[in-house]
Amino acid sequence: MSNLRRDIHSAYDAIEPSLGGMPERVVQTVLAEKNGRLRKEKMVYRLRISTALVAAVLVVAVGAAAVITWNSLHNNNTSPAGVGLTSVQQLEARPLTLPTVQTASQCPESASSTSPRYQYGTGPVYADGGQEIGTDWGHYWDVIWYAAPNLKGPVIVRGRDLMTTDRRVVFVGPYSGGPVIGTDTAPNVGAQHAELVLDPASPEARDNNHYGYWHIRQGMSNGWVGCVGFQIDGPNFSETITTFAAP
Amino acid sequence: MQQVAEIKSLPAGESTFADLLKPLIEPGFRLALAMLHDPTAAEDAVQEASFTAWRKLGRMADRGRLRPWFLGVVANKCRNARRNRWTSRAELTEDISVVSSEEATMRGADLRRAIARLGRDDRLVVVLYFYLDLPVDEVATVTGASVGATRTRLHRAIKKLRPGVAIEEALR
Repeated sequence: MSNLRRDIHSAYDAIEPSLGGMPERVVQTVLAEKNGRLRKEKMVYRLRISTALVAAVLVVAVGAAAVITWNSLHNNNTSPAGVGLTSVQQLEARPLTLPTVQTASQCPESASSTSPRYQYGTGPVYADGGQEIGTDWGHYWDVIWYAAPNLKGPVIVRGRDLMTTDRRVVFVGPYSGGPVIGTDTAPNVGAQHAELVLDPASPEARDNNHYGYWHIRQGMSNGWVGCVGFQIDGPNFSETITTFAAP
Repeated sequence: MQQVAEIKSLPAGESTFADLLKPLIEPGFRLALAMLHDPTAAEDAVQEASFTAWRKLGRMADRGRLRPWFLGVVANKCRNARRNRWTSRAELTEDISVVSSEEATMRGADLRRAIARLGRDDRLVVVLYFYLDLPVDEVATVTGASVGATRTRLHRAIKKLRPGVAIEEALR
């Protein structure tokens, strides 16, 4: 055993409290509360369903108003504040060149990152996978997207199920852009956009390596198989990420 | 894009669930404690991971992948817990009372602080490899990175923790 391994063991063993029956406690808590959690989720769902109907109408109305407004001003496109619309439109004009596969086993997994720090991507844009959230509509992942420190100009990310040509990855939240292609009445979702629009000059924050990063919720509707591709376009590059993640 | 691919079917009755999960609680808690430095938050993370396990364990095809899969879930829960801390502007701190000799306490605290200062991914591979004694390929499975990327992270972390030490010696 190396000195470092021994020292790390000693360092953490010194602060590790006794488990004191924790395994049994954790398992019992799951078994005792799983039904309660389900009931609570159902109750919350029922309480919300009535307001969700109202919210859905409001969301659709607001979304429609936003789309109509942007249509009239900007030819049916949205982009987050601070991102130049003309540049974004130029990137949107690039065709999606993602492959289409016939079966899940043919999924071209190129997801391994060329960076030792991030899970997906070949640069200058990378992503880390995150927590999965299921709704009646489908599945969302809270993903972190990263952009290289010296990257200039807007970046747009578009994705789709590689086994079909019409099931697109949706993006929700303040960094989503492009046309609104759907709505999910689940909490913290709302309008679903076809694109992620990032301004590398104004990230949500920067990590220790000065890479700008954004927390993004992105999703796929029920029925997808798991083979998904992303095309990431910036002024001077085009990058593709393909991966398989079963729903 | 979480590492739950190829998960299919396995009986998930309550006794099966308990039998499968109990041996994972201790490594899960040790991982969470080393990542969060807070026993209460660590137990919460393991508890939340266990609820996730209950929902998804029934689709787990390969029991051999259970430990890295569960530890990956725990790591994600820790990431969310830390993210919540960031939003409240709190920093990783030493919340735990240490009872040991003074010199060893200082040395251990210094090392824990040094590990806490590593980036999230570097810290995760250090804890998994050196503290949980997982082999590199299993660390790679937990983190969702390639074995090569995992080795690179380990090398970089070792250089930060022990500048000048021989990497291969440290990896033993």
